Amino acid sequence: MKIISILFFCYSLSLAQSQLFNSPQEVKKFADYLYCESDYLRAAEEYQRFLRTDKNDTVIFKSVLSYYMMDRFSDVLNFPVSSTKSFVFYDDTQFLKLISLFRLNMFDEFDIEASLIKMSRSKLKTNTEKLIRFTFFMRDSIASKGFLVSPFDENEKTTIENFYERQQNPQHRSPLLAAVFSSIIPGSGKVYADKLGDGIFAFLTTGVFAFLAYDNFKADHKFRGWFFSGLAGLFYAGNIYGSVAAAQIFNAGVQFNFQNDIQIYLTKKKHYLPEYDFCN
Amino acid sequence: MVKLFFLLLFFPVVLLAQTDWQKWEKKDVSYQRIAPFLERDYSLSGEDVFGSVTKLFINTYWVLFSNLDGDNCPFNPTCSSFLHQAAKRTNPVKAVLMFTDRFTRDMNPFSRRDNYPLHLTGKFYDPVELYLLEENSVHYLSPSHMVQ
Repeated sequence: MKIISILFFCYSLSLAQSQLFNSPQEVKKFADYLYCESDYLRAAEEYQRFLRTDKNDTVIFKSVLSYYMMDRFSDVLNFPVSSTKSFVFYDDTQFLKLISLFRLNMFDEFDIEASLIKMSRSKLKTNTEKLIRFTFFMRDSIASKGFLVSPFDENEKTTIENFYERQQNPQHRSPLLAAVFSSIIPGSGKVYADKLGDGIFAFLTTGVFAFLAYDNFKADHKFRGWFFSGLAGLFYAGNIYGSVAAAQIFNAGVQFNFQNDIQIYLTKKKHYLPEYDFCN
Repeated sequence: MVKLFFLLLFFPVVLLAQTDWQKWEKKDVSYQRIAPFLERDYSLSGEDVFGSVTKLFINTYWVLFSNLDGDNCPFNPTCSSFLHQAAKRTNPVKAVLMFTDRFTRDMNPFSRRDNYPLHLTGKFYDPVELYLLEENSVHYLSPSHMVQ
């Protein structure tokens, strides 16, 4: 019996768990696995766990990158990162912060941050310059064409020039012209502001009431004549007002679509974030 | 001792016994359609003179027509609510002009989907703010947007 117990004890010891699952290296290994599986939320948590006991530049950057991949831009901005150049991913992390500020539409903060950063890697330097140019488009700020196009290569230049043209010559509608058009022909201001259906119905409404007024006056129904005149006048004035509003909304739509197209373009370009291959 | 044990056992059994027997009962189900639009605010408190006149007009319209006619306005806010909100936000002349313009747009049944974002209620979202003609009051929403 004693021999069995001793043998059992020896086997238990020899087969016992030899690895410490909560050791920093195991935590990092697990976090790396989660990162490569695109499970960024849990990867970031595991990296944080690792960083409580250990320090590693790659892990710090991958933590920030995990938050970025989840669009948690405020976490990217608040992540405590060494601001010294000894940090291997200094340029990359600063660039991630810049993209986060851009995507949060915090352009004033973006300017301050961009002026403070001194990047050593030329590619990221160029990419930062590209992002700076896009802030001009997003804020509708004025800048020369040469300045806006300068950091882009030949492949992108045409697109940027196209954005520049759209910014300089937006296809806006003049609210004043819309009002003038509608006062001449009811509804035409709406048609000018790209609301064809509304324009036709405004014309019909005003026209019908005006006809009813005319017809009643002709038949010597004075009360009804004045009543319909009032209604026609009301709809006529309302249509002029509505045409001005429609032109304003149209212009807001032009601005919205312009910025939306820039966002789509930047999303396609992944906001000029370099490809990081941490999984192969 | 045994009796006491059984007695003690009896009480928890009774206490923990099936209590959801009610689900087998006959229910008085109402098949009346829920109409949230009928929960209207008819009060005149906090209104100025023009606001009160407008609200009285709207209340009359609600009682005599809208409540009976049903929830038919394709927009959110509805045309009557639009007038009320316009009266609160602007002056009487502007409010009336905004309302007549809205009324004309309401008559146009074509391409609403291309012009207005959809509200969560299934109506087309067309807020007063877009028509105030004030600086920076137009916060454009794409028609593909869903408003909550």
